[in-house]
Amino acid sequence: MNVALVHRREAISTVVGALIFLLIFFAAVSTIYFIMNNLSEYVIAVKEYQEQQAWRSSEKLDVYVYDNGGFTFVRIRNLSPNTVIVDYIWVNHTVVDASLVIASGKEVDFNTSQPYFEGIQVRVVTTKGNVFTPRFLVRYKADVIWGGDVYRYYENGSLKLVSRGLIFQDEFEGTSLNTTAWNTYIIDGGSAPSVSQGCLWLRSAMVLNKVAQISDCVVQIRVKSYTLTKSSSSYGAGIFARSSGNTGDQRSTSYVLNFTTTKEIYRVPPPPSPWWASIVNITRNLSIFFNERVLARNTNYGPDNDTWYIIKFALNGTRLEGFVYYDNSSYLLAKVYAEDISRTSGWFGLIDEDVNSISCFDYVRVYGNSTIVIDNVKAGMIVKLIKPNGEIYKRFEVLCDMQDLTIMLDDLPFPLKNWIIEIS
Amino acid sequence: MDKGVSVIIASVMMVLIVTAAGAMIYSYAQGSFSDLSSSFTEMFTSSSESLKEQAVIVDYFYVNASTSNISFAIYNYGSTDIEVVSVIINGTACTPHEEVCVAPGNWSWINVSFPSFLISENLYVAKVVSKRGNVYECSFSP
Repeated sequence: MNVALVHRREAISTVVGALIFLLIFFAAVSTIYFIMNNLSEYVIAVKEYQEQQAWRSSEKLDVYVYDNGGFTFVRIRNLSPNTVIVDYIWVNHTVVDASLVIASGKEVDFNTSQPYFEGIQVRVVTTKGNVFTPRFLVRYKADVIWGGDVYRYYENGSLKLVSRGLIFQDEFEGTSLNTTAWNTYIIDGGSAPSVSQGCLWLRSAMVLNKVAQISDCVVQIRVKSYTLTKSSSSYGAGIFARSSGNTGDQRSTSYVLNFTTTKEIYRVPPPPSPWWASIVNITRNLSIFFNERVLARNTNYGPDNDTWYIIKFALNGTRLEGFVYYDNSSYLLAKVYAEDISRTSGWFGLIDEDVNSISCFDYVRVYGNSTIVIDNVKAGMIVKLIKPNGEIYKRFEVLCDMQDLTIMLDDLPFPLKNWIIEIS
Repeated sequence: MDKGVSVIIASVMMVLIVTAAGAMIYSYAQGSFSDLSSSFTEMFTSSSESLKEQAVIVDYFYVNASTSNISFAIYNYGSTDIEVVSVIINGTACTPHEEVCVAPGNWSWINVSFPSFLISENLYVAKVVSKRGNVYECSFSP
C-alpha cells in the first residue's frame, strides 16, 4: 500500500510538472512564432522600402519649363531606365494634378494652364517622392525673324530681341510709287514705273532707293516677269546694289543681279557632265560672270514667265551672292556668286532692263544679312531653330560660356514667319 | 494508521507544492513571453509603419507680418497616412494651425507661425515631425 502510494504521488508530481513544462514550452513557441511573424513582416517592409528607395534613386528626369502662348508648359524627358509617373506639378505655389505616365526615354509636353511669367517657380513631383526643379527652356515664337536679328538670352529664361535686322521694306501697296523712298529712271523705250494691284510694274525702267544707303546686307524681292516679245537677249527683273548714286542710270556703277526671262544654258566642263541651267546671273555690264564657261542661249522662254519667284541678293564684303527660290520658299532654284572689290557701300534699286519684258515686283525687303545671332548663351545649352510645322531646321550645342551663337541661314528667304527659337 | 495519514498528507502537500511552484513558474514565464512578444510586435510594427511612412516637402510659402506665417507643402508618397505633429524651424518648434493628416498619394499645406520675422537671404532649416517620429527636412531662404 505504502509503496503504491509513493509511486502514485510521484506519478502525479511528474504529470503536473510535465504539464507545466508543456505549457511553458507552448508559451515559448507561440511567443517565438509571433516574434518571427512580426519579424517577417518587418523584413518585408524593409525590403519594400529598399526597393522603393532604389527605384526612387534611379528616377532621372530632364525637366524644362517654357512659355507657350502665355501659359506655362513643362517638358519632361524620362532619362531613367523605368517608367516614371508624375503625380503633381507645383507652379508658383499652385498645384496642378498631372498624372503623367512617361515611359523610359520618352518625352512629354504638358500644359499646366497656369500663366507664365519670368522667374516662375515650377516643381515636378513623382509618385516615388522625387522633386525635380526644371531648367528654363526658352521657346521664343517669333511672328517674324529678319536676317541680321540679334537676340539675347537671359538667366531667368527669356530671350529678347536686342537688334532688328530689317533695314528697309516696301510692299508696294496703294496706287502710286512712294516718291519719298524712290527715284525713277526710264531706260530707252521703256515706260514710267507704276504701282497697282499691290505691285510695282517696271518695263525697261528702274527705281532707285533714296532712303537707305547700304553696305553689307541682303536685298530680297518677290517678282515675276512677262516676256512681251521673243528676244535672244531678254533680261527681266533685277536688283542692283552699291551704285554710286541714286539718280539716273546706275547700271554701270552697280552690280546687277539679273533674273532672265529666257533660260541660259551653260555646259559645265569637263564632259560628260550634265547640262547645267541657270536663270539668274550676277553681272556688271552684263558680262563678268561664268566667263570660263561656254555660253549658249536657248530659244524657249521657259517656265519662269508669269511665275512668282523670290530673289535674294546678298552683299558681304567683296562677295556677292544671288539666290532664287520658287514662291513657296521651300526650294532653292539657283545660286550664283561673284566678287566685287570696287565698292563696299552705295545705293540700291530695282530694274527691268528690257523693253521685251515687263516685271511685277510684289515687295522689296532689305535686311542685315542671312544670319541670326543669339548672345549670352552658356556652355551645354542646345539651341534649335524650328519651322512652323515643328520640324527642327537647325540644332546647335553651345560649347563655351558667353558665346555669341551665329546661325547661318544663307539658303532661306526672310522674314521667317512663326518660326521658333528654342534654347534648353 | 498514523504512518498512513502522514504519507497522504505528504503526498497532497507534494502535489500542492509542485502545482503551486509550477503555476508560479508558468505565470512568470507566460508574463515574460507575453511582454517579450508585445515588445517585439510593437517594435516591428512601429518600425514597419515608420518605413511605410514616406514624405517630401515640396514647396513653401511665407508671409512676413508681426509673425511669419509659413506654409509647407508636404507630399505623401508612402503607403500609410502621415500625421504631422510639429514643425521645427531653426530649432524653434511651431505647432501647425490645424491638424494635418495626409493620405498616401496626397499632399497638404502645413501652416505654422514662426515667432519672428524671416530675414531675407538667411538660410532656414525646417523639420516636419510626424506622429511616428519621422522627420522630413528642407532648407529655404526667404
